Amino acid sequence: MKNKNEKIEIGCAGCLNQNCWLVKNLGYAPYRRCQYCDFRFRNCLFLHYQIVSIILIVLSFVAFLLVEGKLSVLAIISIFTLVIVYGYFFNKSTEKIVQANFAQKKAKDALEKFNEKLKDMVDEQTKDIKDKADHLEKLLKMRSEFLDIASHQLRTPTSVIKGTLAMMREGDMEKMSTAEKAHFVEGMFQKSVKLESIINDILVASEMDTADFGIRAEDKIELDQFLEKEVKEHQFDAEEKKIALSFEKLSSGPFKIKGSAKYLEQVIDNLLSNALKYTHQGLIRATIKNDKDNAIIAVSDTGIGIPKEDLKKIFNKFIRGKNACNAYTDGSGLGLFIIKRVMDQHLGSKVWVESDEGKGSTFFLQFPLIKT
Amino acid sequence: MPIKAKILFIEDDPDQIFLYQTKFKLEGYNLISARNKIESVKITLTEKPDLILLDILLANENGIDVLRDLKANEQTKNIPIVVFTNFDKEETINQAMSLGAVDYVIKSKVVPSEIVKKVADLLKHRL
Repeated sequence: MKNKNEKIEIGCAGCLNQNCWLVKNLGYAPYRRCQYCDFRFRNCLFLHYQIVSIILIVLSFVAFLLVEGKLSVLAIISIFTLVIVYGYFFNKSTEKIVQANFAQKKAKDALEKFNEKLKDMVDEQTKDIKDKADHLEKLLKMRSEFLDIASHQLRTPTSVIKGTLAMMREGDMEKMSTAEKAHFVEGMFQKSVKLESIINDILVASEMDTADFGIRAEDKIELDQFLEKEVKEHQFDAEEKKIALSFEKLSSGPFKIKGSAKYLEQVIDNLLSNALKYTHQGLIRATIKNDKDNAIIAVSDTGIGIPKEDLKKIFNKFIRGKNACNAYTDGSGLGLFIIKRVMDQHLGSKVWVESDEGKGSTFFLQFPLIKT
Repeated sequence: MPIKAKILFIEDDPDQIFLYQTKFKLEGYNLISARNKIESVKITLTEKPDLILLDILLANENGIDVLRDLKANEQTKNIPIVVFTNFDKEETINQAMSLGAVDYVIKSKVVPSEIVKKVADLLKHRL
């Protein structure tokens, strides 16, 4: 409610009543607030009516004195009646105008409200479109960053293979020792293996993107042995990087689960490869334990970790931690995406990560055990 | 055969180091290598190479930083640096050229004999 001393609001039906004698002649509106002008208007009319009545009573009294005794009481009564009738009709007609004004004002208000609502809607939609455009722009940027890195990754092994073959074609091999020749052949072989794995990652990720992607998770797997085997396969790379890589069973089992051996091999391989890639000193621990009806694998490292702001989206496609990109290490941003998609296809399984930037990360895989 | 020139190859992939080392050796050059920024600056100062081939995506490091460091050092700033990488982002190319690289060569687009020829041309130009 507005303050009583506040100025009359212009635009209010009551105040705009041009028929109001007070408003018209004295430029004075007797209202203090007029959102509810219905009541106030009546008040105004009453004043108007009162003043006109008083003036007429005085005039008739003066006339009565002037023509003393010549006018009958009837004449006075009829003057009063006239005034009352005049007042009544004046009131009626003014009320109509005021009501019309009021209706107009109400319509105007409604239109303004509607306009405001429309403006809000347009604003909201504009914001929505802008958000979508921003998101798209971000995706495009991510894609272009991915392409930069992916093309570098594809080109590096290709350029070694191509360079070696070019030297062979140009007759350089004949000038080389047997050891050098063997080194070149081994180098080409290793590079083609790497090339295959990158292409494989890209193909698997694209396949996983299709709506009808599904995994037959029906192999019976002894998860502890499975993990130990994978750890052993990465032992050589760890030794080369001078990083300790260990496998530990934290409980006695059982660890039998149902899953796709082919895809789970890729999941664990990706986790261990990532740990090795982003750890430059310290150790990597792969552990397995029981937790109620589940088996939980944890791969922890003392690597670069994942920044807090990247943790939520780290399993998205083409996403790499900011520090991982700055580190200029190879990485397609597909490994964790593949892990998430594979785990989603294993009923009751999940993957999550805990990380401290600069200190290391721990990735967890949880699988429901086969009930015996 | 006298050694034509000493080249420093800043690269972290051993297979590539071996490939270009063999090729440059066959062509009469001495190609030495460095794997990171600290090593690069140290070797450049002690070995004083005639030309540097620099990769951009080094393990945990950006070749652009190495380029900046070498160009900021009075003793190494006049050694011609050819960026020799598979990373072909336009922004990086412009950055490298503005920092004073003499050329930006994409590895996968040239065979070893072509980079040897490019190096030979650049060195001839300088002499």
